[in-house]
Amino acid sequence: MSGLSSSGDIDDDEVRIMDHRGCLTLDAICFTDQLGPDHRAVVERHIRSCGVCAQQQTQLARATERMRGARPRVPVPAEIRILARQVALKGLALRARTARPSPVRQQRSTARIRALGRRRPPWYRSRTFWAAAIMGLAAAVVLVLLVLVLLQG
Amino acid sequence: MLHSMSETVIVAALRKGNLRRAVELILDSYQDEVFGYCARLVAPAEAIQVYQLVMAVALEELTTFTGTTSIRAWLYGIARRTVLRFQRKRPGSYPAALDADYAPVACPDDVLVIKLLDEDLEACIGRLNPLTREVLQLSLWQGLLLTEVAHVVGCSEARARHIAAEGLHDLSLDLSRSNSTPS
Repeated sequence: MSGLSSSGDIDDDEVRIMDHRGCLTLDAICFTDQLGPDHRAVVERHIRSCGVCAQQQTQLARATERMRGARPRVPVPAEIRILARQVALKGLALRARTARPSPVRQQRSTARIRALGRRRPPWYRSRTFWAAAIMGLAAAVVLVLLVLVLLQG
Repeated sequence: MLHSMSETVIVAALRKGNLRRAVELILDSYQDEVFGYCARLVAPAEAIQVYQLVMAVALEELTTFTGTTSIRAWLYGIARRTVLRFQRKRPGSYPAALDADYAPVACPDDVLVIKLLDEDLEACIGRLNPLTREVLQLSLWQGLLLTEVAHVVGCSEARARHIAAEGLHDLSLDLSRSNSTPS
């Protein structure tokens, strides 16, 4: 009872319309409304002139209708309907919260953006360096002199 | 027609980045049929759990929807994957949900007794290969196009058509046999 037993021998991308006897294949007879207009025209033309295929189509259409008519309808229970909506909307809110950057990250990125406007010219860095170096040296000399004075005193 | 209208509105909401509207529309348009689909693939008592998982996964993946197929087929694809995952590692542990308070709700059993009125047909459907049965159910009960069915079960459209056609042929033969057999 399997539709899969012979499924391996079909071309995976194309629908075969005719079989070796010159009759329509099952693939072509079923779901004709979902075939392209060219294929559909071929099928309809053939059905009009071939009793065997017409009978086959009638049988398949009957089975299709019987199965379609037996469709069980299972609605979502009311409480689950409400719960699903709540969960979905809560989930969206949660996603929006996590997608927004944290305060620390936001602060850092703000500082980085502000720093972009405070870029120093290249000479500034070297002059500041030399000024700091001279001041440091002076402070060291003063410290050494102080120590010497204290030791002699 | 109704489905294609919903599709258009949902896709428009997604394009605008209005996730809330998209989710509401998806729930309004498809939750009954997706639930019905889940209820047929798992034991009735588990259908509610699986359905909630499907919706949670759909919500997580909503922003990755690429539009290569319809929203409907995409949703059924998620449902099928979720059911398969659920069946593989049942029961108990659920993948991380979006909401920390997320918990499946106990199932009111009387709602979920799925029995076909047509007993002969039910027996014939039961004798079909599982994949054939699923393809037929997706196309004839859920009303999916064969391209959508192909997307859901992961094959080409031609193969989905072939499976459905062979399945219908087997079904019609089996039905005519069971009709001719005196009960």
